[in-house]
Amino acid sequence: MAVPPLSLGDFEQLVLLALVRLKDDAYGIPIHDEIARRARRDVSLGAVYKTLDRLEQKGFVASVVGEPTAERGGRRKKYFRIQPAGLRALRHAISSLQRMAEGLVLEP
Amino acid sequence: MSRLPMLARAFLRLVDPNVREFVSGDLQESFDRLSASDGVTSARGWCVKQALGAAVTNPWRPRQRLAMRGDGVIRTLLQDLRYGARMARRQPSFAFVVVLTLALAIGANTVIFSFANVLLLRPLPIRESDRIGWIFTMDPQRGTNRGGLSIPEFLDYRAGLTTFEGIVGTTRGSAVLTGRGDAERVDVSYATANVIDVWGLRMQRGRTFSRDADRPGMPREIVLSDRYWTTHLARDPAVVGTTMTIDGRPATVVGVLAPDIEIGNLSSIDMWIPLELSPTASRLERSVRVTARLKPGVTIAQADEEVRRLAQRLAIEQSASNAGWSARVATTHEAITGPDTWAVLALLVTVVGLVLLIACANLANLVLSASATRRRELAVRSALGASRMRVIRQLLTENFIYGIAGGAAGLLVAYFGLNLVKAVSFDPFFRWVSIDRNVLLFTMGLAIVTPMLFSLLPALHSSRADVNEALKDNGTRSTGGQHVGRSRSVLVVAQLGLAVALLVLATLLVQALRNIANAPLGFDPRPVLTGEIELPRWQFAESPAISTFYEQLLVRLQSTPGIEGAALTNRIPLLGSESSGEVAIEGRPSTRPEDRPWAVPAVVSDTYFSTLGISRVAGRTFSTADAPDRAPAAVVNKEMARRHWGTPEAALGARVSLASDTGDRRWAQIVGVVSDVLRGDREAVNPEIYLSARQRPQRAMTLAIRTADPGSVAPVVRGLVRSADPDVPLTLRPLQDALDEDLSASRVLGGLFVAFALLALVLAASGLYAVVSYSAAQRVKEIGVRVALGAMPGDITRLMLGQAAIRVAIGAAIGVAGGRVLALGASTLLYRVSPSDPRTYVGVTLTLAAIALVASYVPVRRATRVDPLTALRLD
Repeated sequence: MAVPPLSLGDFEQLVLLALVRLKDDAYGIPIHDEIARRARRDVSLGAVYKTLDRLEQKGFVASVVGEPTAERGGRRKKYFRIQPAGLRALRHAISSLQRMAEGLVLEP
Repeated sequence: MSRLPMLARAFLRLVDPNVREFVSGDLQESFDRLSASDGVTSARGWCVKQALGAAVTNPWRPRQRLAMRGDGVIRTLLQDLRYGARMARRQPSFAFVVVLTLALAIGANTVIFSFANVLLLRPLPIRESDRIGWIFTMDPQRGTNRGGLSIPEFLDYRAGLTTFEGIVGTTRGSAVLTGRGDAERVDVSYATANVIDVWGLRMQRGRTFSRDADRPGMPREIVLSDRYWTTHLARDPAVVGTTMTIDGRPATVVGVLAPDIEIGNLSSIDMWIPLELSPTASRLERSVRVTARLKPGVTIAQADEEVRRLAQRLAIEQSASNAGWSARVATTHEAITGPDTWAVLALLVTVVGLVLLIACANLANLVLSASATRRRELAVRSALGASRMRVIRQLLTENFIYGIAGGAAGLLVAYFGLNLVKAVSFDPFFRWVSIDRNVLLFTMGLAIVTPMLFSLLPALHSSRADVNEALKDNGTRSTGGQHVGRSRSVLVVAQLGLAVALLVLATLLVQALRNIANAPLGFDPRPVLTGEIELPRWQFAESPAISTFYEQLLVRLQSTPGIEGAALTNRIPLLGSESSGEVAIEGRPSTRPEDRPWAVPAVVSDTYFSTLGISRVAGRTFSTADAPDRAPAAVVNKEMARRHWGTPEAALGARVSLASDTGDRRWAQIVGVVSDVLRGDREAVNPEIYLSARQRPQRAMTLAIRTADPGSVAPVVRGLVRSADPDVPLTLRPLQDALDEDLSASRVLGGLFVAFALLALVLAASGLYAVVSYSAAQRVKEIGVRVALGAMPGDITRLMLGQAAIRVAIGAAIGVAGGRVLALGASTLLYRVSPSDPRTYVGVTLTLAAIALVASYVPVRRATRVDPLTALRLD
């Protein structure tokens, strides 16, 4: 194993997974909606941005500012894209979870 | 794309600017999508929640950024504020005086601003009222420039005008409502059926008038006011659709208006009924008020031009009724305010502005003295490296605290002042005045600006102090230097001058008010009760029935003990309508239409002149001889006789006819001349023609009863009227009350002027006191030397009073000149008072001199009692 990946929080994992799913269309609202729809979690847009900011500082995601559009009242979009380090961390987190859960039957 | 909810936008402003744009864009995108799918309400809720969430998770922290700048603006400001608050606590009496002065001055300004707010800023209940033009007719000969239209004229205008998209006619009146308990008189606005749509009024129940409701012969409809619906019908929703009997005719209630319309004189309307637009109505009765909505893109000036052209055409085509008349279009703001309103408002604004200036001068003086004692502190600050800017800023910030406290207290003063005004005034205008958002903003602005006004001068002085000198000074001898002394003198002189000017104005206005109240009316209102009677049309269609009812009523009243006289008139003097009519004089064919004689007509009973105390000048007044089948008789007033016959005697025997009798002219012979009665504006008298009620019975009359005991007579009269006919409503009130009510607005304004002038005087006197006692305190040592060298207390007193006298004299001279300027500006309000009435100017100057003498003598006397030994040992 090369560089030990930094650990990811629960919500960070959801956000990164949303980025992977959305590919080129990953900005605030689609990310928020993706998490709401798939993970069934009602999160606030502010929390999404806060998390993305943190992930960017860790070097897990990169952002690009798009062109202003009319439907946004002339405001620009900020697109996010997962970075190799982020992908590694995500893979690590998911496989840890899978390994931990393997062969278990979760009953009360 | 629709705008985000206001609350959401507000929250977004708190979001870190680094992400604000992206969050806002996201919200905008989702908001439009959600509004389409889930409805606007839920989209709004979601949006606000998200914006709040974003503000919490990604807050903007401007303070960090500011604090990073070298100076630290916010930190310094907070420091200065804390220091200022500490200073204020250390000298509570100083703080109290400052806050009190500010509270009075700001309160006075707030009250006046709240008046201006109603007139200038408050939106009217009419939608887009700046697109509404008011069509007024004018006849310069009668001094009318806000006349109404007759109904046929209204129809001509409606057909002929192209610049308006909706033309509304309204006229106020009263009607008798029967069939629901006692007969009841209701206040009605008769309006064309489009009034609700064109004015953009809101209905809260039912519908508006049907489109043709104002055509003759259509079923009658009623729209109730919210107030009437509440007070008389207990907000019963089932009332819509029911039938009421109005003036004996059934009418259907179709709806209830929302309460927004109930402001000003619209607030007393009980119900709205379609105005019957009958083309055959009289062209001489110009009682319809016309408001019209401009077509998009049309200006008031263009509409005005069209209306003037149309009026010119009508003056030719309908010369019998319209010769000499023109018309114009006025803006809503001009239309809703009386002719004197602007003059009064401008004057009030000037006066309170001056009061504020005086207060500022006073406070500047106070702060100057206070900062003189702080010279050493400020010098130490400078010596330790504080820049001049820094010191000035500190002093300004400290006074800022007083401004805020004074503003808050001023708001309280204004609140109680307004309640007082409302309590003593009957004028509906004042009921309309309140402290709203505009007023609050204004007061806040004053609270911030005022401290800058009064503390800038002292701050400049203090910061200029010579550090070296100030530090050597041990504090007791702190004179503040020559500059300060001169500034203080200038301030005091300015205050005295402004106070004199205001006092002059207030004194003149009080005299004018007294003149109005005491103006000889031409009749004696004191022991007279009046009440309006309107006989229902359906029961009293015939003249004989009307005459019989009124004659019997008068006979019964006159035989009632306690009643000294009873009379009927269709026009009560001074308060009644003064619409004039053209008069034809037999044997004098009228030449040009502008030269035709005119008069204000009235129909009166035989006893009218004796009951109201109007004296006979020549001939006789009406009597039983003027029976309906005899030759018509007329009585004119002295003014009418003077205009057309020269003397009262010459008028007797001449025959006159009111022009409304076109066709079959009924000539009436002048049998008598009576004394003049003052006109409603109390400026002059109108020519008047009285006709006999026996010969011209009218259904609507005003009962006038002379009695020494109004309290016990009123129920008797009411009983008599009811026993004569239970369907006749009657309210009695003393005529004097009605006259007082008519003057109450002027009384309130006069009271305000006096209050402001007194405030100015008190401020100026206390300013003078402060200056004299301060300079006396400073000169203790000098006085000590003089006394030691043999000066007598009298010499000292003379010396110091002499200096005060010079200031007073200069102030008074400025004030007299300023007062004259104010008085000339207010001359339209000065009823029978000369703006340069010498007694006023002399009186005010002497009053000021006396007060100034007292204000200076007290501190001077204290100074002369100084023990020379103590004084010399100072320092």
